[in-house]
Amino acid sequence: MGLLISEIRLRRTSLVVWVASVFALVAMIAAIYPQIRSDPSLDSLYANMSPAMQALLGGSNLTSPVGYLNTQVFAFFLPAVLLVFGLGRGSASVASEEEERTLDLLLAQPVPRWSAYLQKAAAVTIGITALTLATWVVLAALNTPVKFDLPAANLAAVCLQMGIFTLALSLAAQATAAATGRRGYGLSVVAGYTFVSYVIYGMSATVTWLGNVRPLMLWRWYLLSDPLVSGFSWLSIGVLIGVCLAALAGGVFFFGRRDLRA
Amino acid sequence: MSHPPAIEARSLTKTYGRAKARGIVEVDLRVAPGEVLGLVGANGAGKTTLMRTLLDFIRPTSGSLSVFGHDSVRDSVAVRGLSTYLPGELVIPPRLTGDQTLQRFAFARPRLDPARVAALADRLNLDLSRQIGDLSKGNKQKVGLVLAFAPKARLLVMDEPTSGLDPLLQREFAALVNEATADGTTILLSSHVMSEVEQIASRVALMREGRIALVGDVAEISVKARRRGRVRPRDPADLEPLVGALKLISGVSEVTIDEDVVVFACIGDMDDLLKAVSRFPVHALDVAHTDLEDAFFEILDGPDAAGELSWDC
Repeated sequence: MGLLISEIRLRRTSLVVWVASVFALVAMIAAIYPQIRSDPSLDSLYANMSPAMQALLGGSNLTSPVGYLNTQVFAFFLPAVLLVFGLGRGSASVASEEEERTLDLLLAQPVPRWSAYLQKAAAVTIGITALTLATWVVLAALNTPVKFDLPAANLAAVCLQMGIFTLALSLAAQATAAATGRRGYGLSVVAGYTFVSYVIYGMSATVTWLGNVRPLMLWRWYLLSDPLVSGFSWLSIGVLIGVCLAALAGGVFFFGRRDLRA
Repeated sequence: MSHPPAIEARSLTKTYGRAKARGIVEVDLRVAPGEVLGLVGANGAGKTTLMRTLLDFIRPTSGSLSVFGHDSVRDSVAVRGLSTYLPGELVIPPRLTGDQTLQRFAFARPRLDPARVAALADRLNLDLSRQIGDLSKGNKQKVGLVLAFAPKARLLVMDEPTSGLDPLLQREFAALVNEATADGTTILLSSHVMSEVEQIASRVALMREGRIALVGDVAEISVKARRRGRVRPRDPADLEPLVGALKLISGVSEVTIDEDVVVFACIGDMDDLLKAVSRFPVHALDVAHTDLEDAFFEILDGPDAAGELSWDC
């Protein structure tokens, strides 16, 4: 636990800034919704888009609460913001210590490598949880005032699925970086996968043969069940948690068995 | 065996990568509890590899290494619980203060005694409230020393501990080492400068190209070493008889005359030499201090190897 506490203490200022930024960002987007709702031109804009583009934007019209929140917040923008945080933190958490040569001093203590790894992962998890909670708190608070009037459970569901989705990718970045000892590998490999899988997931709505590879695209397990409309998808949540656990196991395994660079 | 050695390496070998780049080769080493062993060798000789294997940062390719009977791989947590480590290249996040550094890098240890930490900082003339980024290299090294000495570990592993310390602090460091060993602490330290180790360690192991080339007591090696001497008789007429007398003494060699001085080399006990010289009226006698570094090379490579090689980088 000592390392986790130290990690949080070391990065608390930065985390507070991140939480405040996400809080402000989501609040701003929610606050302008009443104006968007009364603007029908956005709907015709959406109707003229290709189906693939519509799918990428979340697949419903832009002026409904669901369509607005999906296109402006959940389908791309906010997960991207969370991923900037998560992939950065994840890939840095272990590998930066090694690259900056502080890992020897840290692991010279009587702590098993797996424990240090998991405490680092817990710090990343706490960060993403804080950002997800900030999102949920804003939307739940503004749900009635800006007339989203969405079921509370659906708001919670989309936030939860987004949180676990970004966490899974962040833990994958930590694992890749820790397994190779290079922060850049974790960042580039997972960021590359995230981007490519986003495009493939979007195209799979119209290109039928891409439907076969869709289960490999993590976005599918976050978005396809459309949690803002249908609430919690336990299958999706299960798959995303499974990816988190697999990333943790892989990271612990590969980081635990390799020689650390001096 | 009731007391396992503090460190025991058996045929310890570490090679890196597919190219089998050499780390350490067939290292056999025993360090008794309470001993100070100095590892000496050029950069790349394998000193750091040996230390990092001991702490399980890297895993042996073959052979075994144990600390107080605990295997370095299987019981690595126990090994690190009994040891503290000062890396050769100490890096601490610059934003941390000295105190925060102690917290971050000792979180898994029993709580450090604040009085002991304060006393150490005081002796080293170190302000623990300052940020690491504002400290000089020497002051940063002091933070590392506090981290190494504060937990009262049974084994201190220190890679180039005195680098960056001024002579006054090197003396303070030697005092810290002496106090620690008086309490029974075992110390493994490395240096590429023999003279540093010579003053601190009781035994020295010379590493060369991944192997332990030689291990010996500092005192023992000094005796084995050749020393250079010069005698100046009061009367130049005594030069030739003095040469004749010195040549009869075992352990004395290379006796020659250089203007009004007899020059010689000697090895081992000096009693016979002094008695022989005392039969002449002598103006001056100088015998040079043994350089352990030269001694090592002489023992390893025979006379005259010393001087050609130097590892002071």
